[in-house]
Amino acid sequence: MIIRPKLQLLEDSQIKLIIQDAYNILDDVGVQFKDNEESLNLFEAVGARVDRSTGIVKLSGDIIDRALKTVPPVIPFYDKDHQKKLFNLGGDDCHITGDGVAIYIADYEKPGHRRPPVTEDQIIHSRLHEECKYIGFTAPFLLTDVPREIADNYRFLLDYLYCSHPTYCSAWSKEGFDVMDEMIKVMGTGVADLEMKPAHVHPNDPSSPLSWSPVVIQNFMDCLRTNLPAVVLPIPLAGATAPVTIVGTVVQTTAENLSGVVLSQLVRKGGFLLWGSGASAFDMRSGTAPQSAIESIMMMCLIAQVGNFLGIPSLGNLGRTDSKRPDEQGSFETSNSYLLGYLCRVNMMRGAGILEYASTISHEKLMIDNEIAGQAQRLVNGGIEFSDESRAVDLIKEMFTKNMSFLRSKHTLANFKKEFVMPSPIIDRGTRSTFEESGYKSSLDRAHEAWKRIIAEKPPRPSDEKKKQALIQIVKKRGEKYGVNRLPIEK
Amino acid sequence: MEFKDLIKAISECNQEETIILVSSYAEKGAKVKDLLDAMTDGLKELGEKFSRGEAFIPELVFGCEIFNEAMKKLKPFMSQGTDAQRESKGKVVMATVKGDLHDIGKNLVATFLTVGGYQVVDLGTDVPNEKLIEVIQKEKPDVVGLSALLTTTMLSQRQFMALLKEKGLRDKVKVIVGGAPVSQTWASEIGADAYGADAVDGKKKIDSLLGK
Repeated sequence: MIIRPKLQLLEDSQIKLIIQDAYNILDDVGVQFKDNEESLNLFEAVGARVDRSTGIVKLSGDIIDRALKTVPPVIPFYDKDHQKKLFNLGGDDCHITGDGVAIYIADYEKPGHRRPPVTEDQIIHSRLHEECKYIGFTAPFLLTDVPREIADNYRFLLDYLYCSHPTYCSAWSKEGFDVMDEMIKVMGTGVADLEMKPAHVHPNDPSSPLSWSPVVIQNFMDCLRTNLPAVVLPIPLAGATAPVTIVGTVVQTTAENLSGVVLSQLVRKGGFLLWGSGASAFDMRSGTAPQSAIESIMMMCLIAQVGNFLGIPSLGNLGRTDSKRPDEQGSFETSNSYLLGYLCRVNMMRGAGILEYASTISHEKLMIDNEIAGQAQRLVNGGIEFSDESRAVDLIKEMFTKNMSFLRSKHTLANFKKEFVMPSPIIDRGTRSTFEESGYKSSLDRAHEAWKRIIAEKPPRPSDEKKKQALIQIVKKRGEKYGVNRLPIEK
Repeated sequence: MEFKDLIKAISECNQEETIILVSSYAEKGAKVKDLLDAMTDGLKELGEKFSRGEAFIPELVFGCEIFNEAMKKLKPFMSQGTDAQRESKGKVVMATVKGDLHDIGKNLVATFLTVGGYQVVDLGTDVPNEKLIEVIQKEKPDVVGLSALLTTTMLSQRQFMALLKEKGLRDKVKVIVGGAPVSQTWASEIGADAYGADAVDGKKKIDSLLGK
């Protein structure tokens, strides 16, 4: 039997009370769905009280109860060609994702400096993701060598070409979403039942407190229509856009998520949904939103616990760091997040490879985070094998009696790879002499060398030329409106 | 210095004391302009405490609230004349762009500006560019600050710059942009005058734009 350690930050009775509080808020003051008639029509049709002038929707408990019954508890994820099943998300299955909101890339050669990212940076990052075995999802970032208007689709294209892992990625407009959908159909060419074999996740951010903006509502409904797994991702700032108390922010976020649950199931019964949160403490000195403050981690783990209690796969912005460099702070903050996130069963943890309030991507940080993820997965996924064989009483007696080393036992040979996770050379477990001989390098230096080696030695994933050209044409067609005749990747 | 107790009350975020003092001084015939100057000094002192790490953002925000409450108490005593005019470093119109309901960053900039002696016209969230143009024509601000938190809404900032030019107002007002997906590169690309990385930086950039 494998024991998988689990941490409950609150008792079930307390979680139930939080959910009741959220029901009360939704029934009493409601949530605003701004400037989107279609969503209001859907709510009204099931008996919600809708104020057309403000977009405020008040939901009774029975409407929420009905919606909760049809949300799938687990989402299966496939590779980007929608062919090969990779893993499930939900229940006890947790996975790490990269982070795609960066607008800069860290410059290793000039520590602490950053620059706008371009095509080559995304290609490298996606190729590195392909080799990161502990990070389930990739998340392409914002590139500056194409017009901003098409950057959402262009990054989606690059990431498809260079990484087979499923993607965490959003479109930024109705047009962008439709193009993304067209691209997904090309990626999944020939796959039967494509909508039930997702390879992407799309975040949708309600505006805390208790509001949804028009573009987000539209994208969210479009996700459900195409069964693209949709994350409800409120980003409340405790003390600024939500109560300053941890549990108060959890209550508000629960209400925001429940409003998304109802809308999702009105658009598509059984549509894939993730219960998300990017909750953060609000730094009362600098006005920043520290993503890896312990209070932020506690809130996101608690919010996930509420989602899991309701049987919905959960997501938290966990693993991010506020450090400006991939340094000691970066590593301990990510480590705190992953360890607690896994223990609390946050099914999807978004934040690998990112610095500085999610503004700066770093190849080195991605490599380090992959190692941290490996350790956290060992703790929870590997767990503790508890059996007669693992307790090894007979073996202990035998080795003692025979005065033998355990290194010579078959038990060691058969089990050591299972019991011990083997880190890459980024983690220094070597001797002093090896450290000195290799030039006194830090883990950051070794992470830099590691990604350079991958790019030099590992070929990019093979691409289907027909699909590649079809996808380029789709993005180019959109780009023509903005003066793009040739995409940077074609040069 | 006059009205030391009033200055102290505001700088310590003492709402009750501030209101009592303002009402009492006004009833006794103190000039509204002098009271406004004292209240502004109180806010300034609060801002200095913040800079020294002795006060925090909620206190700044609350300090501005107290200032506004005290202003309401002074209204009946204000004449049509100049004595109601508070010394101001400049007028700034602030808004979150159309389609975006996030306002915490914008509100913080507005707070820092108010504490720093600026007159702020805050239009709130989800503000259409056309509305901004109307307000610029009416209020004639020195600076417009435009915030966008989402990659989905930041394109409105570019559209605003185009509309500003089209209406012949580009050289009448300085423009500063900010928000999570916004960068100096973006600000330069759309032709804004400045980029505010955060609330403190936003206020500094506005100081610099206006030579303060």
